[in-house]
Amino acid sequence: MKYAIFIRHGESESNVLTILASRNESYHLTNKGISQVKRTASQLHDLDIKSMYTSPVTRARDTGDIIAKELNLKPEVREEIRETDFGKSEGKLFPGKISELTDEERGDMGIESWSSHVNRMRSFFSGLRENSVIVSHGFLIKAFVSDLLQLNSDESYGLTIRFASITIVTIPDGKLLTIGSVVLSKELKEILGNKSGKHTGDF
Amino acid sequence: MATIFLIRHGESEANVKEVLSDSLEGYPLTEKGKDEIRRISLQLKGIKFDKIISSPVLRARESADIISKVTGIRIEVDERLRESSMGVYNNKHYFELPEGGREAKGLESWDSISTRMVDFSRNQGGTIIAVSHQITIRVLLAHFLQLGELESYGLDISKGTLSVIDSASGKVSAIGSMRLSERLKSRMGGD
Repeated sequence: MKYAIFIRHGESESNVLTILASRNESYHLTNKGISQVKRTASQLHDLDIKSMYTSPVTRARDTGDIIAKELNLKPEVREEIRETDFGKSEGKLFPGKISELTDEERGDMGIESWSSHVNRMRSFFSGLRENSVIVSHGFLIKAFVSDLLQLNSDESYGLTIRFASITIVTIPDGKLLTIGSVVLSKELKEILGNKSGKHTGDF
Repeated sequence: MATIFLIRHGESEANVKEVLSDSLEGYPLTEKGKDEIRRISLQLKGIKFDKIISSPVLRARESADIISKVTGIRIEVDERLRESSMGVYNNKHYFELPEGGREAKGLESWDSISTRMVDFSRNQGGTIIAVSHQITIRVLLAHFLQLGELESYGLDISKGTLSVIDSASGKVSAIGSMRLSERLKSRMGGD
């Protein structure tokens, strides 16, 4: 069984300032964000990961750097998993959650639609072949998970992808093994297997 | 086997005071909590529900009463929908809870909650509304999504929100929703 581990970046300066930032920006992780990511990275330590991908946005790259050190992998930057396209709202203050807007409201603000997020992630996911860690953004991961569960925006309102949280999906089936978690359970780690290639408890 | 519309109670005095409580009495809905429930109830008007089944805890019963007034559907109470047992932390503040898992803190275990919620879901027929609590709703959703406690951390069940499951097929059609989606509304024959 192969799997894709989606990690949302840690808390960053743009989150704290509530600024919509996807392009031409350099908002780094806050100290809190760094701690969050370090904790997540330690959860991934024993897993058999072959590839790493990261969004080009600063907070994702910072997150990727910390995880890369832990896993001893070099992250490949991928445009398809970049943060939401905020259009004319880029750089604007928005204290709410983009995912909680209706598509109409997003459209009025010039922000990328729900289905566009889903399509980007479906396309990216279909190209994965081996155990991978993917550092990306909240709305993207949420839209992808919702789509896998066949839920639309209204129906998946309660689905929450926190900072530095872990969401794992099997490749290529798209079965969800964990959603927005901060700790991987012992049972799940056994299912995922460890670096030596053995599944613990399997004889 | 049934289609179950799970609604978490509205904001209560317990939430405002940041107190954990499994007691049947003592913490009524706040005005905001009543509004939260009215809002979701209006969304469900016109759908033919067979009944409303409520947790015995006050904030859930009061929520069920409001839903009943708005929709005209009768109420029953079922113990299996009750709040997680809080053990020694019952009626204590959130900040008094120590670190560690549920059982370490003497709270009702995930498996215990799961057993009673799954049992409840298997006993129902038709289309019903079930008024319950944050952890109980999350546990039932997690069961149908085949996720455990740690794996379902991303399922947030806010007050006054709607989650929908079909206990026969195991399909989850809504998770902590503020709005009943158009397609669910059509499927259920709503206004």
